[in-house]
Amino acid sequence: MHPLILNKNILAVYLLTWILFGIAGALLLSPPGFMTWLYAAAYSAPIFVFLGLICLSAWYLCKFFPFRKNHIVKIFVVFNIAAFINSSIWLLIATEWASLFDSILPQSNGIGGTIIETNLFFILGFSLYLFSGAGHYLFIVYDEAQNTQRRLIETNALARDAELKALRSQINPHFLFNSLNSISALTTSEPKAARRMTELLAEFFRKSLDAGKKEFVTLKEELDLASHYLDIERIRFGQRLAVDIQIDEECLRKFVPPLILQPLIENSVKHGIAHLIDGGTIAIKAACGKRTLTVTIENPCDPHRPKGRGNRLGLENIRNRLHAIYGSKGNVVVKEDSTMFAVDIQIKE
Amino acid sequence: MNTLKTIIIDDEELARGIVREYLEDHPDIEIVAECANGFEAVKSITELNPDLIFLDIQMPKISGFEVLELLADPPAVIFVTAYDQYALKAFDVHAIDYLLKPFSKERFEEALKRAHANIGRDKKKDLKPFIEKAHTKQRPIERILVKDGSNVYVIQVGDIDYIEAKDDYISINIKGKSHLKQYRLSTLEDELDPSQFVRTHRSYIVNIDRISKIELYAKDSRIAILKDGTRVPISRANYEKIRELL
Repeated sequence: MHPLILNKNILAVYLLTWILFGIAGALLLSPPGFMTWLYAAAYSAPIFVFLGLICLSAWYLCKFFPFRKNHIVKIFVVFNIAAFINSSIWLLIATEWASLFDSILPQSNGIGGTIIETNLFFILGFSLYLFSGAGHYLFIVYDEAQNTQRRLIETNALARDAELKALRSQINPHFLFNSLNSISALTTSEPKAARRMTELLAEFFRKSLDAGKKEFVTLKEELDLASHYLDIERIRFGQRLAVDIQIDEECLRKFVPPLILQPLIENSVKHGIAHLIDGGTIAIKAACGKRTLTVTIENPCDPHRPKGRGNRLGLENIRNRLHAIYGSKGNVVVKEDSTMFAVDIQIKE
Repeated sequence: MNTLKTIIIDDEELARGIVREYLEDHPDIEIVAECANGFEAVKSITELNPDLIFLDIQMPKISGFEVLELLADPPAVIFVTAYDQYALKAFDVHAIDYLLKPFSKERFEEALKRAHANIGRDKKKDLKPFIEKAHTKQRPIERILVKDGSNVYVIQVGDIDYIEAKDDYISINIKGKSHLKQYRLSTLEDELDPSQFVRTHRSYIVNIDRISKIELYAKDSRIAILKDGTRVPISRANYEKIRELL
C-alpha cells in the first residue's frame, strides 16, 4: 500500500496540489476571458488529479526495482517505458474527457478541444511521471535511513536496558538481606568470619559497580566477581554449595561484556542449589579458539523444583544483550535434563 | 510460666544459629529440634508436637507454607524470612509474628512476647482454611504433598491414575497404591490441569491418559475402565464433558 494512501491528510494535500496544477494549466492554455478560463479549469482540474494518481503508481515500481539492487540503466529503461505507457494512457483519457466535456457543456465553446495539445500533454505526463519516480526513490531512501536509525536506537536501548537489569540483579535485595543475616549470626559465634564476610560483600559490590561502567572486561575479571559472589553464598549455604572453576589462561584473557555471567551464576544458586537438600557443585568451564569463546555454567537441580518464570526471563535478558552486542555471533544455549541444568554462552568475534 | 517446646526450621545453619542464640536468654523455651528442610520439619513437628515453631519460607523441596498445609494441627508459628512479599500471607495464616532477616534482638523479644500471649488461647481455631487460602499456588499444580504418619511424600501430578473422595479425605491412587490426604475434591479439581484431569463423578477425578475405554454399565450410566483395569463410575452429567475431552 502506498504510504500516502494510508495518510488521509497528506493525500488530501497532494490531490489539492494537483487541482491547483490543473487550474494553473487552464490559465496558461485557455484563450483570455473569465468564463472561458472557468470552463478550462473545470476541464483540466479532474484530468490533472487523475495524472496525480497515475504518478503515485511509480511507488510500486520503485518498490519492485529497489535502487540499490538494480543497475541504473535498467531503472532508466524501466521508468522510461512506464512513463511512456502511463503518459499515453493519460493523454488518451484526457482526449476522451475533452470530447465528453465539450458535448456535455456546448456553451464552453469546445474549450476541452482547444486546450488539449497532444505533444505538450504527452511531454507533461511523461516528465511528471519520471519526476514522480525520482521523488519516490528519494522518499524510500530517506525512509530506510530513518528505519535504520530507529533500529539502531532500539538496539542501543535494549543493550542499556539489559545492562541496567543486570546491574539491578546485582543489588538483589534477598541476596543482601540473607548475607546480612549471616553476618549477624556470625558476629557472636565467629567474629572473624563475620568480618571476612563484610569484606567480601563490600568487594563484591564495589567490583560489580565498577564492571557496570565498562564496555568489556576480561573473562578473568568477570570470574573474579563470580568467585566473590560464590564465596559469600558458600558462607550462607555451608556444605551444600561447592564450586568448581576450571578455565585455562588463554580463555581468561578473552573479553566479555561485564556482568554477563553473574546472573547465570545467581540462577544456578537460586534455582539449582537452593532447592537441593544436599546441595551440589556449580561447575564453570570455558573453551576458546582464536576468535571464539564458550563459557559453560552447570549446576545440578531438583527435577521437581517449582518452575518459576524468573529463570527463563533472566536467560532471555542475557540473550538479548548478547544479540545487541554481537548480533548473530553471540548466543545462549541451554542444555538441561531432569537433574542437570547447563548454560553455554557462545561468542564469536 | 510453662516451658514451651520449640523447633527451629531453616535450611541455613547460620540462620538457625541466630534464633538459637537469641533463645539462650529464655530458659522457659526449650529447643526440641532443629530442621534444615520441610521433610524433617513435618517429621519433627508430628513426632515432638512443639508449641511454637520458627519457620523459614523458602526451603528446598517443601516450602514453609507447605509444611503448615501438611500438618493436621499446626503449632503457633513465627515466620523468619528475608522475603517480605510473604508478609501479608503470613498474617493470613494467622502467624504469631513475622521476622524479617536480619532482625534485632528487640524485635525477636517482641515476637516471643506475642507468642506467650497467644499460645494456648487460640489453639482451638482451625487454621486449615486460612492456610489453604493464603498459600496461593501456581495453577495448574505440578505436585501434591501427602503425609503418611510423620513422613511426607511428594506426588508428581502426572503419576496419578485417579483420585477418589472419601468423607473429609481424598485418596490419591498411583499404580495400585493409595495415599490419603485431608483435602476437598472440588478444591483439587480447580487446581489440576483441566486438560489432563477430568471429574467423572461427584467422588472421582481421573487422569485422562489412564482411561482405556468407556463402557455402558447400566441403562443411562457408564463406567470408565482404566488401563490397569480399575473401574471408575461416570455420572450422566459428566459424560458429555468427558466425550469432548477424549
